[in-house]
Amino acid sequence: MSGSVAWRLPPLVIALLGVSLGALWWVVDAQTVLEPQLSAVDVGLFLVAATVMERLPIRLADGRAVPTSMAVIGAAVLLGAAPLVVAAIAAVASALGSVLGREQTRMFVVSRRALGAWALSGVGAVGAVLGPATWSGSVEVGVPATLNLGAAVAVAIGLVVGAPAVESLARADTGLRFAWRRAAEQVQRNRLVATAVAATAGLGALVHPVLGVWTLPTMLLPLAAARVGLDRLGLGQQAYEQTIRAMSRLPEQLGTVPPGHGVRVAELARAVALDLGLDAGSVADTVRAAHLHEVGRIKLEREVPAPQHELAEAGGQVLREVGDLDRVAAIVEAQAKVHHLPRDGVGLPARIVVACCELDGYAPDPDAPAQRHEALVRLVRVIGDIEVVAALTRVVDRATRRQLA
Amino acid sequence: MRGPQRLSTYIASTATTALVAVLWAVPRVELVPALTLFCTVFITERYASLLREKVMASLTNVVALVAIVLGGPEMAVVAALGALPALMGRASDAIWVKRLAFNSAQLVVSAAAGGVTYVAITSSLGGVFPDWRTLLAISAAAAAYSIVNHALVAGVVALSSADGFLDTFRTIGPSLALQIPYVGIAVLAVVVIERASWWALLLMAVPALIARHGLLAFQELDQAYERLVRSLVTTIEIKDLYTRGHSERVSQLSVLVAEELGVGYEERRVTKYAALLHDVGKIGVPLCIINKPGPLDDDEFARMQEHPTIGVDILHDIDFLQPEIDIVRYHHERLDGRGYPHGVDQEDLSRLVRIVTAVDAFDAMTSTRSYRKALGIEDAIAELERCSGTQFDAEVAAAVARCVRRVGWQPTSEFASEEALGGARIPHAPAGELRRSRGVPAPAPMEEPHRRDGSTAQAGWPSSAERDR
Repeated sequence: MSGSVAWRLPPLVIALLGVSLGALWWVVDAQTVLEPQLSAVDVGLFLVAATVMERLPIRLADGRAVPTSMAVIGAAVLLGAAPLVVAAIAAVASALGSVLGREQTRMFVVSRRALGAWALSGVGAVGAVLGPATWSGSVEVGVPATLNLGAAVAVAIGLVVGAPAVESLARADTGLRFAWRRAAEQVQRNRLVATAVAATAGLGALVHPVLGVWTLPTMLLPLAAARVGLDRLGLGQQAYEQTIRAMSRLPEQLGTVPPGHGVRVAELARAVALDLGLDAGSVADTVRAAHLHEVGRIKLEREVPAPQHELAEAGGQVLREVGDLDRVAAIVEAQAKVHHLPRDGVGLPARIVVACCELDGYAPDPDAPAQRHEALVRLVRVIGDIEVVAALTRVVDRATRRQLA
Repeated sequence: MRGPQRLSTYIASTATTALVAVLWAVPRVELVPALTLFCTVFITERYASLLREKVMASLTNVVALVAIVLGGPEMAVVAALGALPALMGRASDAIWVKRLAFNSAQLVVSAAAGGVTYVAITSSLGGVFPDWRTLLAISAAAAAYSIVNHALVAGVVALSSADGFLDTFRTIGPSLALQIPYVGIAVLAVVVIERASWWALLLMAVPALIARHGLLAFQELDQAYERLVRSLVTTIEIKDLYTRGHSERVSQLSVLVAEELGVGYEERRVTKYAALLHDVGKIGVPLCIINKPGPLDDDEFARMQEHPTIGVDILHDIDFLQPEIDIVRYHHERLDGRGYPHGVDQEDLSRLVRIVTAVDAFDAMTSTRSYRKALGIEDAIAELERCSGTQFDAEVAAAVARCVRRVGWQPTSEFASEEALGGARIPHAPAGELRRSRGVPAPAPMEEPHRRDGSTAQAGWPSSAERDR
């Protein structure tokens, strides 16, 4: 039962990691490499800018918001601000941001921001020491632009790869086996936003010697443009999935399916698919298919109870008409023949959906092992795939434990 | 022949001005930076992306401003010329030569105007980039560029169409506001080029490219989303013999009416989808009620009245619809508070709700239903106008009338065949006659959508023959 033990990076480990990364700044004596360039006024301006950017996160398809304030924090690191200052800017900006948005200030979020900023300082310091000397533009008149390339590359890697990976590892609840895959997927999902944020941080550090107080309002403009595009995309993707969830309520309105069935099955199916280590695209399609597994009912005659295969076929037809959901349609169709399908392709997602559908509404008494045994036997018989049933059991047990705790 | 001649003269003089500017500028610029900027404008014009309908986002302005700061008006003129080959790739129709000549010439003239403004201010105030004097000069150059650009375009629109010069020129507001970020980006670019290196521009290009990627991906996604919602609505409607295509038509016409009433883009977009989905709750009403030929009894009507509420319930976690979910919830409500299912007061009916309510009723009137045949367009408009103030918003009703006349909206011909009705008879008369034949008093406005007019005992509900579904 090793797989049933949820493996995750405990908050304490992450905190220790962050603190030691930040402490590296002093250990490697970054001050000798990254010349401090921020005056007290600048720090104030950076705080204002970070607060404003706290209110302008970029939302991703899965509903998470990536903070763009990290661009300001990254620039502060590259401009040689001490880790304490950087962490303070991040923490205060996060707190002020939530006050501005009339949200509750969550100490957890504030301390996570501070820790992240602190750690980024350490990453920047390592890059500064290992990398080449500070680069400077050659100009005839005026102050040249400067940038510590090593620190800039390190900060970029920290923002694009490090932060999303650590975040994913902290959330992973699907066992050690897939933690790294999930982390890679998270990096992949965040890559555009994170790249824009990292480029902005580098740009800000580069132009600050020249532009001074004008650095922040100008450096954030390209990022603001990126936000217009990406945020709209994220909201659109969210609307798409939410509409599919809304569609799960259509068959329920016909009276033959219990209310909330589609949403519950989809939640279960997501957890099972993650537990079985499906890739992100397959997880998404499994969840969609779970939401829509009964959608065929809106096509069939309402009054006549339909056999399983007709329902699956009708559902597939409805979904094929959409034009973009062919894989989901195939999963829905495959529900009627899960026994005969190979595990690759749509076989596994279809089995997950059927198993979760079977289980929904069934609440065995935890103190009656016989009941549980009977339910498992029945599930194995229906699905014909003991691994799916085992994953489903793990998911349900985890949820039960969480409920009890 | 006066109009076209004046147009040609106008284009020719713009082109000549541009040509003079180019001939003056070319010998005066440094070759490498000028070529680079020329190519950059080519790229920004070629890959200008649609920010949203009718609004193009292009960084040509920014490049022009950079050119102005780096090399004055002559550099800006040469850079703006890069638009010519880019626009050539888009040529498609009969007057493409004129269009091409004008569009590239107006960019050159605008860039020259911006450049002259910049040089005039910096030479009188002095200042070294990037101090406040030069920032002021760049801002003024951006404004000049934008004003000349708008004036030239407004001129060509005034000469080639019925719109007045000022009508077009007035749209300069948003464009001037856009200059603010453009100025910022241009300043940043100049600093990077002058004090760092050309390659560092990549740091700026990355967010810009990502923004473009996001916008393009969003447009693709939006189309996919539209396919999803449409096919869903079609699947539901297919069971309803009388309202096939109804949601689609209500959505289309509501958006037109919203545009007519000056509703903004985001709200129009929400209206489009909310109107498409306004009847989705009918899935919870038994088909035998929906497709029943002839009047509904009280129980059946009570079931029918639930559909807006069911719709809200189904759609409750689609976040972007929530600000306007009242479109679904209240699409059978009336201004005088006698609508269903809530009977709310008119203060609760937002403008978008009023639009969809009126359009819904209009489309219902101009389609055949199980209990009567379609009205003609003018008859339906007359009904809408007769009921405005009590049932519909007068301003909205007038806008509906303008829109359907303008686009030549037709009554719906696609409806259930007589056979599909299984022999049930559809009353042939328009609403008014039907009412008289059933002996219901006439003061009631019309039968679409329903009202509580006090003509029957049951809490003021009309007799069942009057009830719309």
